[in-house]
Amino acid sequence: MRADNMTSDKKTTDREGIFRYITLLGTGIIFAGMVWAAQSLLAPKYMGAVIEGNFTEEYYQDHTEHELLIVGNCESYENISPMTLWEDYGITSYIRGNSNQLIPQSYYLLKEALRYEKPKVVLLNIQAMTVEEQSSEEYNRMVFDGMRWSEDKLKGILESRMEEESLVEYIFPVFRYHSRWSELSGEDFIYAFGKKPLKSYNGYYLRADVRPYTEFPAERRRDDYSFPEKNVRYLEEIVRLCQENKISLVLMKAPSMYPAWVEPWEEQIMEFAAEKGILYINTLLSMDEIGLDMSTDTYDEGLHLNVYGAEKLSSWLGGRLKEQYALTDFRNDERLAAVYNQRLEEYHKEKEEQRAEFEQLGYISKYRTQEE
Amino acid sequence: MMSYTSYGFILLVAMGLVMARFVPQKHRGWILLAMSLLFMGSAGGGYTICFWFISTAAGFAAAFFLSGEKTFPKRLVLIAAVAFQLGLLAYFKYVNLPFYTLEALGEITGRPYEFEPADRVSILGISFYTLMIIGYNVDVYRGEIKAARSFFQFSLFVGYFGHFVQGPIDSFKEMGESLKKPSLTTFRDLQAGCLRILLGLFKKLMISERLAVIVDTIYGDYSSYGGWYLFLAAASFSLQLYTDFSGCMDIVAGVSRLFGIRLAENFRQPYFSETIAEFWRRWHITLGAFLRKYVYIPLGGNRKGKLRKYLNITVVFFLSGLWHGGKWTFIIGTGLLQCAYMIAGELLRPLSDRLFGLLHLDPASLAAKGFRRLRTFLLVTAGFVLFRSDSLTMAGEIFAGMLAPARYAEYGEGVLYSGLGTADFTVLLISLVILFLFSLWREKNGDRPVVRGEGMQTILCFGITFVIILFGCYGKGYDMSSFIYSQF
Repeated sequence: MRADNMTSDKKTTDREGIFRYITLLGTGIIFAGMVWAAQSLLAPKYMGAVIEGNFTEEYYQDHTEHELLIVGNCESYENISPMTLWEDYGITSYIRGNSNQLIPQSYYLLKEALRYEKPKVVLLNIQAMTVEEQSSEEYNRMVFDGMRWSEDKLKGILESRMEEESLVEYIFPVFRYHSRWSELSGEDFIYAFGKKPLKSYNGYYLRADVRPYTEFPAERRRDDYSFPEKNVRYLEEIVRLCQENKISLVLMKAPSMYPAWVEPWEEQIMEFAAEKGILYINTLLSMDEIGLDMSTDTYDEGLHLNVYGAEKLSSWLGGRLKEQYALTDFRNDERLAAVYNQRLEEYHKEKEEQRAEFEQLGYISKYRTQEE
Repeated sequence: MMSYTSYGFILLVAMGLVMARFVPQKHRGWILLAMSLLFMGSAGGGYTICFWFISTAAGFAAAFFLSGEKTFPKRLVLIAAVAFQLGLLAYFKYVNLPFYTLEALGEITGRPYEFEPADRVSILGISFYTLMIIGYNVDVYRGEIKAARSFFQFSLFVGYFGHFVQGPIDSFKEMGESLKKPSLTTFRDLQAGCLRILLGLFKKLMISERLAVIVDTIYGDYSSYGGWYLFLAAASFSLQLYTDFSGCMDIVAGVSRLFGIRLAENFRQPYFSETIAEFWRRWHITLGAFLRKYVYIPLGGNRKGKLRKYLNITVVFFLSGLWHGGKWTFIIGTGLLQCAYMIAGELLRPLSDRLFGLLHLDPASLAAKGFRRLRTFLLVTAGFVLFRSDSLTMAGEIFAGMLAPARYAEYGEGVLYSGLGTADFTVLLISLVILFLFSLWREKNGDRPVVRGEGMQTILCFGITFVIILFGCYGKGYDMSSFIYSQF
């Protein structure tokens, strides 16, 4: 009788234990699913005025290899058009650039890209060499939110996050974006679980509006114009990475008029490039040769080029790079041509639409909010 | 900087729990001490660790001389030990009190007195652990407990991360052993601990942080607001203070439960109190218990006549107010004013009873209870206006503004110009209703769980976590103020 009771008690306890773990597991899975769904819904979609937030993740949607990889901050993704490089020379290229992308971030994005492809040439825009640290969390977010998880992403975050930024909030973005629950819009629901449309042209940010160059206020003088030690260290790492992968590295200063590119910086880069045997192109010195006219070729008064300026620069740059590094003309490659020509068609269509809208309204409505 | 709502603290607790699974029960205290030191260092810095160690060592040494059959005058040792602990507390917290007194007098007499407050290093938790050490020394002196044999055990008691920053003011008698050798935790302990933590996070992140927006907006520019807007701010602050402080207590009680430790309770639905005396028995219970045991009763309590009783109450409330800070806004707001209420309440009770009789009102009716609860809430709120004010002048202007016609800051935003948007205001109201219903349940059913059955409690845990993740005020985008009581 007693033995029977004990067996019965044990069975009840076992049953309770199994029930407990099933409930825990089941509820845990449902909870994780709900958190994931909430995270997808709450994360910014960058479909409106600020489309740059998509650039990092769009790279993974491009399954073609690129002979030219362009890395850097806004001076790269707003000044060089991979579509022109294709159209004029058949060069396959992609820009891994983001707003205010720091040199360490460029290093980790490049390092990650080299896991997927081996370009012949890497073009690094060096304006960010002057930037010591990130000025706003949003820039870091735009670089890393779309990046796939890897050691490179982790190291990149740890190297460039701001003081108040938490690694936990990068690992679980829902903790960062949870407060957006009260400002969700239609696009959050549309693109929460579905595929987002491409907003860039191989990383290029198309702008067909025109705002002529004006004088910028004089910049504050610095006591020390030396590049921050961290940037120099990461530039060395980029050089080493390219050497290890037998990639030709080209340093470039884009023709952006602001922030001013001063002599001490020019000297440091020239010295560095000479020491390492790297080509350095300062396009500010070749603006006439490129044919840039800052009364028509910039959309924000000289900070960045518009599509007309970017096409001029890309055409000039493509010629130099093709000649110097024997880049292949892929226009007769059926597979690549199919992909690029379709993208090129969309590019021309949008360029024309923007041109027409600007001509009619004097501005491009989808960027209006951002500029206001 | 680590706090009870930081990611770092969650990580610390998670690591501690994992390590506790692999360490024999008798050695788990070391894990708790390591966690406490990490927490202390991260939240308070080097000075906090340094002065915690000095106070702990002094308390431990004093107990050694106070215990057993010693021939030298123990009373003198006790006085020296208490004076040392209070001296340290006074040095860090009350150095400006004489000047604040002159300032307060200047405000009253119309002769402004200005001074530059002396800047002292902030020592986290000093107000709480000083009382714990004094209580321990007195208990050893009285022979109620034996002195701790190991310094490890005593230092863990004083520095335990669960009560170091904001209390509760635990006694060594109750906690010493359980900290040294925490009991084994069951699944039910883990579940109950998690639910308690979530209750605390709900109070802090769903309610307190939102109320803080209203309070900071209106009090931040109190001269532009008038009438019921100032009442709104005052009532909001009373609720903010409660949800903030008791929320913190829920978090630390829940975390302690995960480690098999039971902390003393510090709150018991205080806003359901019908009298001021009852309120102070339900609010910050461990501070009240400390003052009762070590001040009120030794002074004679209520055994030496009415006048002496009132005097003793005055001393206790004065010390309670003083403990909150060396400013007269604290001393009056949470001390002398409350004392006045209490004495007046006792003196006027016959009159109030007669009034009920004349009006043929049943004092036990729901309406009468509701009236008394509202009255208590309003009286306490008036004290908290002083508590929240920077000076007596500011408090006076706020009280005067309450009687003026309603007005608001023209640039004020949000619902009722409170700074809180419609969505957040709605979440706040819903959360307050949930908290009210939960408190009502607690009032009637004690600790009996709202949801019974392990499975349902597991679902409840995940459900509340999800709601807090989504709607809680934390992280960037919200200016999450630190727990109010951590400054004391």
